Amino acid sequence: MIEIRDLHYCYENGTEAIKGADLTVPDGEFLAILGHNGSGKSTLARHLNGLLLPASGEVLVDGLSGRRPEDAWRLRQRVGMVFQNPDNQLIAASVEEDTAFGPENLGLAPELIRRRVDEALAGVGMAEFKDKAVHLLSGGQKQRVAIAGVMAMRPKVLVLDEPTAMLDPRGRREVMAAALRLNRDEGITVVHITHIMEEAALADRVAVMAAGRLAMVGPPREIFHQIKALRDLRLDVPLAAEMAWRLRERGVPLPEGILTSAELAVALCPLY
Amino acid sequence: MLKDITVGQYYPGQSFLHRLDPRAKIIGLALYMTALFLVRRLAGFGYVAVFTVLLIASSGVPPKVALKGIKPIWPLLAFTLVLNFFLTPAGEVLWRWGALKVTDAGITRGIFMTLRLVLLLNATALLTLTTTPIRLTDGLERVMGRLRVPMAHELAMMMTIALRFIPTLIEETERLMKAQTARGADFERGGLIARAKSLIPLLVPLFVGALRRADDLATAMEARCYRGGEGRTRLRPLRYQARDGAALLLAGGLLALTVADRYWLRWLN
Amino acid sequence: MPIVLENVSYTYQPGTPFAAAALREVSLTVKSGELVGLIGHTGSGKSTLIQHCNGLLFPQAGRVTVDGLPVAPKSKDLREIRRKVGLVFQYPEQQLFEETVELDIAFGPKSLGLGEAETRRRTRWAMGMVELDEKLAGASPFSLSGGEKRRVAIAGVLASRPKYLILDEPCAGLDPQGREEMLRQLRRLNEKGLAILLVSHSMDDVARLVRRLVVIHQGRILYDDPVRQVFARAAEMAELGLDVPEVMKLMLLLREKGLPARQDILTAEEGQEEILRVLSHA
Repeated sequence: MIEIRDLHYCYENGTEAIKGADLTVPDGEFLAILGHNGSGKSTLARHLNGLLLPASGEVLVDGLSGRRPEDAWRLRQRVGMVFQNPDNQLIAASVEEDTAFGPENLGLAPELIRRRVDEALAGVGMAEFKDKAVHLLSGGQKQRVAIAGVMAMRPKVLVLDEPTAMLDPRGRREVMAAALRLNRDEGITVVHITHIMEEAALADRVAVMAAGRLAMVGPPREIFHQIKALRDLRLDVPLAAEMAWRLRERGVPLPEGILTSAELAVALCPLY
Repeated sequence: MLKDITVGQYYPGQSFLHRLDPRAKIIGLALYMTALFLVRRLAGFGYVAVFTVLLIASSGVPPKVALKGIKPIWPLLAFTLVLNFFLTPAGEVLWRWGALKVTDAGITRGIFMTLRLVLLLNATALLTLTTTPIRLTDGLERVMGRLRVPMAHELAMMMTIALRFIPTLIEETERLMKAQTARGADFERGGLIARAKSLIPLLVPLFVGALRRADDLATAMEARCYRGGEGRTRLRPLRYQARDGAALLLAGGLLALTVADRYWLRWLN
Repeated sequence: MPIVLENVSYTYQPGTPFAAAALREVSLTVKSGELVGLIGHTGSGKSTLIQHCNGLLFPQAGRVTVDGLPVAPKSKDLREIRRKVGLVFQYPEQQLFEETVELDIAFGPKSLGLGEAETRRRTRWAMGMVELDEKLAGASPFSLSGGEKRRVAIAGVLASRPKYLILDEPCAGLDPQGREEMLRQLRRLNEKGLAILLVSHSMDDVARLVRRLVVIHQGRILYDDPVRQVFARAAEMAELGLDVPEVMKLMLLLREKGLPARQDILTAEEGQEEILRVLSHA
C-alpha cells in the first residue's frame, strides 16, 4: 500500500512543486495520474521510490520510507520505476543483459537471475528478442524492455513516469497492454503518469494534478464526467465522454459515465 | 565513414575463439603483443603472421570483416612508414635530398613498425569480434581487479555504458548533421579553420544531449538499485575451462618462440 | 511554383542483405501556400520522403524539383533549395547550440551570408512569427521551457525565409495545451502565405489543421485527397492497421450498429451535429 500524507516538495530554486498532497493507493490498483507539463505529477512519482525526499509530510510504501537509510534500497526494489525517454534508461547493449542489471545489483545467484530475466521478458512479450541489441529496437519495444528490467527485481509497485509520451500510437498500445497485463494477471500495483486521456480512462482510479495539488481523485467515469472542471484545468477529455456530455446538453437522454466510443455507440442505438 | 569502425563490433559465432573465457583472451592478447614487440627480424614476423592467420581462420569470422578495421587507419600506417623512412639516422644512406635522407635501416624499421601496427590491430579486432561486449568488460574488470588496478569495476561499467551508447550517439550525430544542414550549415566547405568552426553547431548539441542522457541514465541506474560493484553478481559468471589453459599455452608458446628467435636461434639466417 | 516529386524510389543500403525499400514510385506535389498533412506510421517512408524535398537525400530513381530547380547531388542550386524548403525535424529543440536565443535563430541567415542589419531584422521577424517574447532574445536557449525551446528552433528555420515549411511531428511530447498552441501557430503561419507540410502519425492533430491529406503506407502513397474524403474511408484505413482518429472510430461504430451516420466527420462538433441529425430523423 502506498500512503502519501501532506506531501510538500520544493525545488532547489525555491519554487514549490508539490503543495500538500494526500493519497492512498491500495495493493493491486491501477492508478493514473493526469496533469499537464509542470503540474507536479513526475515530482510526485519520484517520491514513491525515494529518488526525491519530501520537504515535509510523509510517503510510505508498505511502511518503508525513503527517509530511513536502512529502508532506501528495499524501497527501490519494491517500487520499480520506468521513465519517459526510451533511449536513456537501458544500460547494457543487449536486451537480456539489460534486464539482468537490476537482479545483478540485488546480488542474486546466476540461476535465479536467469529465471527472473526469462520470466520478466516473457511477461512483456519480449522473450524472442532476448539476444537483440537494444539500439535496434523500436520505441515501444525499448520501453517494454525497461519494464522487464524493473519487473525482474520483483517489485510490488510499478511506477510509469510518462512512458508513452515519446512513442508512436503503436508503441503506446504495446506499453499500455504490457502494464495492464502485469496489473491484472500478476497483481502489480501500477501508478501510470500520463497526459493522454485515453490511457487514463483504462485505469481503476484517476488522480488529476494541477499546480502542485491533487485537484480530483476518483474512478475515470466520475472524473471524466466533470467536463467543465477538467476544461478549467486545461485538460482534454476522452472524445466519447465529451461527445456524450455535448449530446446530453442538447437534450439527448444518455446515461452518465460513458467513457469509450463503443459504449456511446451502444447507448445511442436504442434512441434511433 | 563512422560505420567502418570495427573495434568494438561483435561477430556472432561458436568457434573455439568465441567460446574462450574473455580473461584468457585478454591475457593471450597481452602475450601476443609482447611477442610482437620482441620481434626484430623479418622471420620473426613470419611466426606471428602465421599465428594470426591461423587465429582468423579458426575464428569463423570472414577475413574481409577481420581485416576491415585497417581501412580507417591507413593514413596512420602511411605516416608511420614515412616517418621511420626519414627519421632513422643509422644505416647506409640510400637516397639523400637536402637534410632528408633514407637509410636501409630506416626502410627496415618503417616496414617493421607498420607490420606491427597491422598485426596488433588485427589481433585486437579479433578479440572484440569474437567476444560479446558484456563478456569483454566482465573479463577486463576481473583482469584489472586481479592486477589491483584501482576503480576496476567503475572502468568496466564505463566501458559497458560506452558500448551501449556508441550506436545511439552515431545516430544522433547523423540526425544533427542533417538538421543543421537543413538550416544552412556546410560541413564540407572552406579551409581547416572554417571546417573546425562548422563543427560547433554539431558538437554543442551533441554534448548537451550526452549530458542529459548521462543524467537520465544515472537516475535510472539508481532506481534499479545500482550502488557500485560491491555485492553485485552476474547473469553469466566467468569460469575457466580446459580450453582456456590450452589457449594460454599456445600464446605462451608464440612468445617463447619469438624470445628464442631474438636471442638464440639463427637457423633462418 | 511547387515542390514536385515524380516517381521517386529510394532504398536504404541497396545491394546488401539489409536493403530496405523506403519509397516506391512516389509522386507528390506541394503548391506554394498550401497546407498539407502527411500521415503514416513509423517506418512508412514519411521521413525519407521529406528529406527528398530539400536535398538531404537524393532520389535513386525518379525526379524531385523545387520551383523548377532540380534536387540533385552536385546541383549549384542546392543552397537555394534548402533555403526555400525549411525542414523542422522531430524534437528540433535538441539542435539548439548558441549562447543566446537571438544568435541561434540568426544561424540560418548568417549561413546565407546576409549582413548584420538584415540578419537582425529577420531574427526579430521570426521571433514574432512564433510569438516569442522579445525579452527572451538575450536569454540562453537552454534556460527556456520545452515549448519555448521548440519555438526558438522553428524560428531558426523561419529566419531563412523559406517558402515551404516541412515539420516532422512538431507536437511530439507536448501536452494537450502545448499541442493546441502549436497547431494554432502553424495555421497562422500558413495564413501569412507559407506553404506547410505537416508530418505526423496522429491524424487527430492533422485533421484539425489541414485541408489536404496524404496517407503513406509501406513506401507508397495510399491516398492524396481532401481530408474529408480520406476520413470517409475510415474502415479501409483501420483494416490496414493505420491509426484512425477517435471521432472516425465513433462514426464507424455507429454505422456498424445500423445508424446512417456520415463518415466524413472531422471534429467533435461536427460529430455531435451529425448524431443529432440522425436521431431527429428517427
